[in-house]
Amino acid sequence: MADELLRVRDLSTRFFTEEGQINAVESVDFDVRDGEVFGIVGESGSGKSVTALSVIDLVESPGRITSGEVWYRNPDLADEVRDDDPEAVDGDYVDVRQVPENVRRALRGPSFATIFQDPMSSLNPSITVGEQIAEAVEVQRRARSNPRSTRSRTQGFGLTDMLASTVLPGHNYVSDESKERAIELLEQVGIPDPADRADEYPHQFSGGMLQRAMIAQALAGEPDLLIADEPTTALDVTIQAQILDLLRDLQEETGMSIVMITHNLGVIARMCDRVGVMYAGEIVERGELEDVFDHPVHPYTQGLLGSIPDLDDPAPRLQPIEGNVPDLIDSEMDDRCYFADRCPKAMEECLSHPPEFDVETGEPRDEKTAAGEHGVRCVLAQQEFDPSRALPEDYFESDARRTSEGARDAAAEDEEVSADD
Amino acid sequence: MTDPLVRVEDLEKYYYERDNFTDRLLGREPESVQAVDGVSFEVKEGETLGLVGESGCGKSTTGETLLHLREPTGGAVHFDDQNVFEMDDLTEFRKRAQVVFQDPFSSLDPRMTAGEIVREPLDVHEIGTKAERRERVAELMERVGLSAGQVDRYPHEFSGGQRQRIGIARALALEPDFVVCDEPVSALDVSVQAQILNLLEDLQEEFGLTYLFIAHDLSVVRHISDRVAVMYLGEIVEVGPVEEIFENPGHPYTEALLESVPRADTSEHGRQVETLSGDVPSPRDPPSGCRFHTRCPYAREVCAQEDPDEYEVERDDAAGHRAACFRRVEDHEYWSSPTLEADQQAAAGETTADETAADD
Repeated sequence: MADELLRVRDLSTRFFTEEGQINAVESVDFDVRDGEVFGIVGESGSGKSVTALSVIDLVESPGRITSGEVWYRNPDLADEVRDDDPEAVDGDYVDVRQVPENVRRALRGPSFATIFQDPMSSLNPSITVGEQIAEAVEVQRRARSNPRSTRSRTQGFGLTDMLASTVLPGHNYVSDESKERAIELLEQVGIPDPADRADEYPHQFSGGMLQRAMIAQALAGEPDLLIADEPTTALDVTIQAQILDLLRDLQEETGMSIVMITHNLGVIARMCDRVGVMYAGEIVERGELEDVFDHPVHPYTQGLLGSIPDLDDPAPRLQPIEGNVPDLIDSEMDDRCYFADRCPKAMEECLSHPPEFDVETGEPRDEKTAAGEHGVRCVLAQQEFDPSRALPEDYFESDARRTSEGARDAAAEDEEVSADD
Repeated sequence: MTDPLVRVEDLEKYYYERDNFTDRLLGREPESVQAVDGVSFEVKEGETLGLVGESGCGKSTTGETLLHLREPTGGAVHFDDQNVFEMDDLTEFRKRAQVVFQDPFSSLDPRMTAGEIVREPLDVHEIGTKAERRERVAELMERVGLSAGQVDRYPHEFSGGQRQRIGIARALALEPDFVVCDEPVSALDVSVQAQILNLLEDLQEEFGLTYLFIAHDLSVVRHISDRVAVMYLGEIVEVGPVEEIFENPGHPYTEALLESVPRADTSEHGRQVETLSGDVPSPRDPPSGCRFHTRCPYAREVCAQEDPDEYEVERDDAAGHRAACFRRVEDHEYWSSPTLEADQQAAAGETTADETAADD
């Protein structure tokens, strides 16, 4: 399995808010292979964005990564880190959770790059687009000219530069070569007249063009892994198609891996080789595109697919999932399948938290057994639905009534969680 | 499904920039943004007309202007054969025509309880006694899938889907005939979106409602509409029965839209999509002739000069399917017109591309 670029194991992220602890990401495992597009799909509040942020260590307070390993394959980095942190190295792999903060930070750009959902608010409105991309290029260039300096990125940027840049914002840091490279990057992402457009400010760009500019910025460090967090959600369909085409062309050109995070099942189907479906902070079903879309096992995946109207063959009636996404407050998360309260096939077995099963064998999967691609966190992988063991329909409602006071407080929190997306 | 309940004729809504006192003092010409530029359509009783287009094409402005929530620049809207813009008293019209807004977070007053929000239309129009109103509110809440016990809660205590249900209950309070649904599901997650779509369909059947359903999501529009109108840059480029539009699109823009939508299906993987080039031009300075010619793969010179009328799509069973494209006319001079050079097309698009940002 040497073709895995990234192995994420048991990653958990919690938010410690005034209302209580929120388990945004709950023990998530996944791999990203070389040159593939791995999709993470889920509704708002399912933890998909936080998962991505946790991988690149950009989770902000009150959030904290509470456990997990992120093994990243990079022989050079492994050599470099081996002396200081032998624990964090395993062959060519480095656990970026165990290396010091400054090393981890130095990986952003040359190893991991991100593009965000809203291009309008992700770029600085007071600096020209070209300048912002050149800045990213410059950082990478300085880091590369002195490999050890990956540990101190600001080298070559002294007090004089800082004072000068305060008076003339941005104009001191960037060299002419970086500017040229920035224009090349803009051309690579399909912006017409890149030399002219580089001198314009973000508000002079349309949404699609800004998203292209942001992709150019992400490419500045020639990353191994591009994390695309809802890259087309803010765009119109015709522009969305352009951006998806661009991402695919760039991937073929550079051979990078992409983690594609979206709520849009159509985008997943068009772009991804393998998919993970997230619900309540967990990956509830994973597999190759065909496994998940054509043979879904988890009732949540089935529900998601049944909820979207089909453009080519509209069904007379949609099959929605009843109820709402849970709030993920620790004190309210019982030790059961988190989907059981909305699940049409909830059984008594669902009252204990299910492990991840291999769909082919029906056995729980773990590290050692060579598991197949298709895994699901649902007892239905192991046994057929047995109506005699089904939970009564109002089982959770009566439960909910008991804790309705808590639910009222929770509604406020719901808003905060979904605001992250 | 016979008489049109709503007939929109040449509706226009322009916004003016550089139109304040200083500008006039300096003798500047006001600059117009043609958000809606001569739109005509009909909504028949009991049907759902889907109005679809990309952001900035004027679909929401159309919805708001036809309800007279915005002052129109020109045109007329006939509701039950009465011109809405010439009514002295809108009270009766307001009772019969309601609206559900896109954003369930900003369209509900955060300082009013759910019950007060749903009751407000009844209070304004002074319907029933206090007790009757209270009963009616409870009934409405139950009907849209909330419990009557939730009337005392504030909007922030509800999830997005539940808030949209409150918005729907408010719109239904006066038993309207016509409801403009302005992107009612686009802020919601897919599983909740399906719940709301089913609810809207059930309510339509139960109360015999007529919907103008504004959306940018084509699969939602196909699901809920009987007929569809496609808008581009303030104009309707194609209108027809839903099956017709989706199976035999008559306008190149509709074709491109349908082509662009990613399907949630494994056959979608790696599908080669003919993407439209460029961005939507600015409505401040729309392209000459056919507004779509700057991006159209079939554009010829005549398209840059003449504005196409709406032509019937020539098919046996295509009643009421019209598209504003010369290609629908067999003996049009389009077919002998030279192809528009790619750089001409690009140049026309370029001049306006800078300004589109503000509309996104």
